Amino acid sequence: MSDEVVALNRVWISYEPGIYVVEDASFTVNQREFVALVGPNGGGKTTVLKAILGLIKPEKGSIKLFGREIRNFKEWAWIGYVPQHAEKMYTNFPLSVEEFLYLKSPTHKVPREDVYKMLEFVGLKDVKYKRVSELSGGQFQRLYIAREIMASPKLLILDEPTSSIDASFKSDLYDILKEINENLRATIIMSTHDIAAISTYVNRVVCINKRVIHMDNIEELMSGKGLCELYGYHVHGLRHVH
Amino acid sequence: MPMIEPLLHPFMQRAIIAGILIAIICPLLGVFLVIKRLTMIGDTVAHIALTGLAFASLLGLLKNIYLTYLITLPGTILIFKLTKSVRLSGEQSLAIILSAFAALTSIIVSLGGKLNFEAVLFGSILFLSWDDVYLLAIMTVGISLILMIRLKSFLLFVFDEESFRLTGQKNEIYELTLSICSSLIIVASLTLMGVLLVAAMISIPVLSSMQIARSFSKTLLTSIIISELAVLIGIFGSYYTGLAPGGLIVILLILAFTSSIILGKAGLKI
Repeated sequence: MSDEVVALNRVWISYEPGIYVVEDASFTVNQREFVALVGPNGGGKTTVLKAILGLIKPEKGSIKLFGREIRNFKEWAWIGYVPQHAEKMYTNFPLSVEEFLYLKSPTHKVPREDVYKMLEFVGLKDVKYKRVSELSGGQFQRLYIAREIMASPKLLILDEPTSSIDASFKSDLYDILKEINENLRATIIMSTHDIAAISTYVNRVVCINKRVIHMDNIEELMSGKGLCELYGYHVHGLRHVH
Repeated sequence: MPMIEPLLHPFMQRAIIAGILIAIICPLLGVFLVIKRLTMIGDTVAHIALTGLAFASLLGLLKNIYLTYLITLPGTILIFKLTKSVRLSGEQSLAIILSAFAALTSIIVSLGGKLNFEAVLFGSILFLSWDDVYLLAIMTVGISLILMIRLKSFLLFVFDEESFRLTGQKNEIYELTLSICSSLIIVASLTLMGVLLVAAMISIPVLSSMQIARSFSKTLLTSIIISELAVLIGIFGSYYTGLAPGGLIVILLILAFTSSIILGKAGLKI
């Protein structure tokens, strides 16, 4: 089996006939890579992630998951997904934090100890009896991430996971992701605007603004020129110093 | 013994058994429909069923449940399809379908369809037959089994459809199952509850328990308890007062809803 976990080959995606939100995108992600998908708002990051998940069908091109064409791919349990603004998805329905964590595996039981361990891991042990609707946006985002991690995915896809998380948990989250990438051997694809964190945590970046903009390395992106090419205006990246 | 005496009448036996069954299955199904933001589906499906009843009467059939199903089942599936394909929200597609079928009923009635509107709209204990009760029993057992065996899958489907799709299960199957179950149960509950009031059994118990419950399991259990109390008190109340059972049951449900809002605001959570 090839090392490729995700392979996009000349993918074109449109929501309306003739208007493409992603044009001719090709890139691969290999096993155990931690890849950041960066680009401006409306640049197609979420669309690409949803296409990888089979939630959106490309108009042209092919997507392979674990070496198989997406239409033949059946092992969706290998994949974890944290959507953008997950915290906004839920109404006032009373689902407890614990019940939410059990949801991901509808067909088999999750040991209660695993659930408690995970809640402690993401700092939500004290709220386990609360309704999910009573959590703050950041707490819910953490809960969602916890649920996905608990399923031990081979590929974890996160769409702007830090968008509603406070600064104190942000670096904890990156540390958790780094750990599951290195120790649990999960491949991670994360879309983000957190340019500053990229150089510290990820192995590689894929830059997208409708089209994939090729950059040789993270340093090239972090240069003012690279960011300017991607975002279309002058921005400067700041690096985290540990 | 004032509580035993009504039970000696076969029509009361039928009403009580049917009521107990409806009070289990309607909230069990309703909990998923409320999360899916299809709270008004009961009302819409009941209006589709009314078209079926009117059409049956036009053909000279007093009450033909199979003909009613023949019209209600595709109509209910259409609600779910419309939500998907035309990018309408659940409530928007319900509004359109409800209006369309209400209009159809009015046309059929003007063509000569004759309905006992009081019984059809508000429900009746007297028109309930043993066949209605058997049908309701079969449906309650069958649908409860389907929903309970796949409880977590249905919950994930209504709560987080994208995550559900990533479990590899077909959302079309769950969508179809929910629409067929809604249709079957609403039509089977019509005789007792009436077209205008059956929807209340689907949504109000669930919306009431949501005010005080902290979890899905407690919401489900509380909504079934609320329904059972309302149905039993309503049927006995109807026997003694001569008032329509559907109306009494719904008034009791509204009282339960108001009480749960007050309790919820006072901080009582279970």
